[in-house]
Amino acid sequence: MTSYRFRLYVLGETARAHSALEQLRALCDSRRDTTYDIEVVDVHAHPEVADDARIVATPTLDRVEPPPLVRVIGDLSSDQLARALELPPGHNSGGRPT
Amino acid sequence: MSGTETRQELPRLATGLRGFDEISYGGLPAASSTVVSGSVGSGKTVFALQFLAEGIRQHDQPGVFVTFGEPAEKMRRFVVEFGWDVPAWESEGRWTFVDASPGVEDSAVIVGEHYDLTVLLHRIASAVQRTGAKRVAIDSIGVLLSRFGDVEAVRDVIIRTTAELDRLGVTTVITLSRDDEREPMRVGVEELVVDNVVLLRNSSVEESRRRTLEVLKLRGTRHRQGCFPFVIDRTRGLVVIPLSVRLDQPAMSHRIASGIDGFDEMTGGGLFQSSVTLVSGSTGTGKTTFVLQFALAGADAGEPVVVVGFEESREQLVRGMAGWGHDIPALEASGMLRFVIDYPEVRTFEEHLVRIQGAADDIGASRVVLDSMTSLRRSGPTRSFNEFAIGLTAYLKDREISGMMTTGQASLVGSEVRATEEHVSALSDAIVLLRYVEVYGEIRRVVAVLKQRGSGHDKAIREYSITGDGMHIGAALRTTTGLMSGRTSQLDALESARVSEMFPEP
Repeated sequence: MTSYRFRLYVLGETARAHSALEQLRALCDSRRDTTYDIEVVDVHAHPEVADDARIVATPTLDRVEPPPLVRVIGDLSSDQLARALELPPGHNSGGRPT
Repeated sequence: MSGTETRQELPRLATGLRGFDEISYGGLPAASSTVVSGSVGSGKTVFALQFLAEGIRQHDQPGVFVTFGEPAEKMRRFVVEFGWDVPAWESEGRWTFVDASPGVEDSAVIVGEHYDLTVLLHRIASAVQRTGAKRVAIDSIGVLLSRFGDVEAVRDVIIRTTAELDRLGVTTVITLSRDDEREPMRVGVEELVVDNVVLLRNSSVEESRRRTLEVLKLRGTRHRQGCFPFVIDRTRGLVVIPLSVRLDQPAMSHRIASGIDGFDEMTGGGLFQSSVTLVSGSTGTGKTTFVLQFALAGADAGEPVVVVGFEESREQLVRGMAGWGHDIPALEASGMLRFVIDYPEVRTFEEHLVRIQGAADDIGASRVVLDSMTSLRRSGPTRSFNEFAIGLTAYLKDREISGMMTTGQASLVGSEVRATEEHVSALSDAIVLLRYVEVYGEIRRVVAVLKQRGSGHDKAIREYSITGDGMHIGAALRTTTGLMSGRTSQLDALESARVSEMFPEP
């Protein structure tokens, strides 16, 4: 069982922010032996958080746990995103006993 | 971008960068953005940093520095070199970094598509409001472009950011990399904020580094045309050399004591304050003695002096002044005398100039003497030397400092002024010749005032001697002709008596 902690930086409650969050949720739900936690930070409301994290673009997704930090800026396909975040294989990828 | 505007002279914001406000006729257009473009190492980051630093130091205008390349921590260390206490200003709330650098821990950054850079605008605007900033520097767009390949997105956020900063009444400097010295602007971002453009160049001329700055355009405002040399000095930062002599100089009227026995009589009562005098002579004629006496006469009169030496060490110069009854270390300690001693080759002409200006500014100099232009001349390209001469003269005139420089002469006799120094001669207000002549088979030393702007002067050629307490000017040599050419002949006694009657000595 691997625990993931993500932080998603968005700028306001936009459609783009919403779809980035949905994509990440769907991706994590489809993984085996995985628990995850997603914190959404609206940098419009908290510019000082953007300063501390050096956010220059939205959406920016940080994989906070496990280390090291991985940062994804903008949209990736779900496959690319899974690879970038080093997620375990999905439910449908075979090898799982039924 | 705002082509419909018909504003005339826009208000300027004096940057406080030395020389820049002069060539731009007052600084950058206020509440507007200026692109400072240059290749790597051209000094654009120093320009951006100093724009903020001088704002705080000279004008009490807080600033925000946006860094895309180097992290803020590295910038803080970098500016310490120039003596700008940025951490103190940060704690006073007068300087804010917006750190948009990739950061060391971000080695694993994956950039996808459809990102929005608007958060940058929010961070910058928020920092400006928090700081009460009047100035913003953004360094550099080139780095942002290389991190985010989407030129459209970068352009969009920069245009929106500068529009917002203009609206907030903030004056902004944006640095932009140029890959090629010859290309005025990087393709793809030229539609940026190009109402105001300053170009920095770093080129190699006759194996000597040459930095120049050019104001390409400033919206709705006049500025000087052409490229101006500049240096990046360890203590003064970026210093532009305006290369022109002010035309609105007050007429010279106040005469100053030379300290040389008999010389003030030759110049109709003394050289003028803020005049530049060239002392020409071959080796051993006493040019160095001449200018040192002039320097110490200034210190005696309570006028701080700078002695610039390219030929002798400080110790040699001090030894030369030993019999004159001055306590040199005491004069140095009290700030009345400052030596600037260098080998000509260790710096570029521009660096020498900035160093001399720095010393003169430090002590509030009234006199500057330089020994010699000939040694300096040999150390670099002619063009740069000529610019040095213009730059130094302009500086002396601007500060109403009296200058005296020596120049050597290749041949021991005669009056030729070397072609390479014609330029210097033209810039000087007075020229003094020190020469060897042969009279009745004996070598004598003579002095003549060849020109003196704005005053009558002695046309006689006078003999002089140098004793333990300095130079003494004596009687005119009236029985000898051909002194200037070096081919002398003697008049007989009768003829010389007749001439004496026709032209009595004053």
